[in-house]
Amino acid sequence: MLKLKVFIISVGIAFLIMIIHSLLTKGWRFTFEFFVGGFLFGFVREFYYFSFIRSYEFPNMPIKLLNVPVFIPVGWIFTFYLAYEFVHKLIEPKTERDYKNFVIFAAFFSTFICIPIETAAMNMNWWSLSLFYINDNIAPFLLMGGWSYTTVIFFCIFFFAKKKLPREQLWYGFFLFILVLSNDLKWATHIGFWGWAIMQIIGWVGMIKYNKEITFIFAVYLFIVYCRLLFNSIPNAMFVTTTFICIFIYTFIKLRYIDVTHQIKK
Amino acid sequence: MQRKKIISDLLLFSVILIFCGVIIYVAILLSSIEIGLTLLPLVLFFAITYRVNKKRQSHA
Repeated sequence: MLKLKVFIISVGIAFLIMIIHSLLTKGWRFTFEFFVGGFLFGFVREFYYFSFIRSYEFPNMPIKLLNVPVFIPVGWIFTFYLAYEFVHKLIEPKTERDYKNFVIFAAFFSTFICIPIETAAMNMNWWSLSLFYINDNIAPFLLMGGWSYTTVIFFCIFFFAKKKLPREQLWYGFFLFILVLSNDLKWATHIGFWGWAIMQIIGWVGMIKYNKEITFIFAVYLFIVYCRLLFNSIPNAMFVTTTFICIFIYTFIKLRYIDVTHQIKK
Repeated sequence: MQRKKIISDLLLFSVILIFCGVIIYVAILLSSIEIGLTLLPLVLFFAITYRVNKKRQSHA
């Protein structure tokens, strides 16, 4: 319990520092929109998982609201804000194309931050996971998808609200959610095969229509997920490492492409 | 302006330090090198961001 307090106090201090940073660099309006919006988004996400899916639990977390520990949405804001700051430093978005790239890099960033924190939590019993095919002491590879899709949907909504991305990207977030919902409901056995298949088709078609690049990334990820499910004897860490290598290769190619495009424009 | 930027960078750096500190604390507590190694991709991302940002500033 004492070790859980160390985690909660650290998150609390980091959260306060981030609010001060946001107020100093972006003003109260952005801070209010980002932090309140992020909290509500994280809260709704966790409420959905706690109420309908139950693939993980937080038995020891204090201060719960509608069965959701308030520190978990705060943890989501932590991820979103760091992603916002560091991806801004990486690409300095100006055009719509840049903001689409921003969403991709933010999703990558969330996978980098997810594995350390989930590994620590899993080994310290801060929260307990089920249905995740754990076979070593590294956080399950399947969590990377969960963190990245959450980040993509959040930034699609946020940038649409800030008028940086068009309405189509909001639709992209919606169809991505349909895809995730179908898998979640199938896992929790709320729907049968045909219900799952119809939702999958709707999700994939909608995603391809509105953003081919992120859809391609999720398709590659899903391919690795199926390999993971087929070859359960291969250590989970191997799949985590393979995904990180793929992400870095993609990042290098993408940054090079952005660099060359900027040089041509000049 | 420069002072504000330094304070802003310091605040952001302290958040990262807290995050890494928690993970390293767990890694030391459980004597597990794998838990510490999970920080590597994040550190590599920060290194790439720093380099790209520095390169852009030198061009500007």
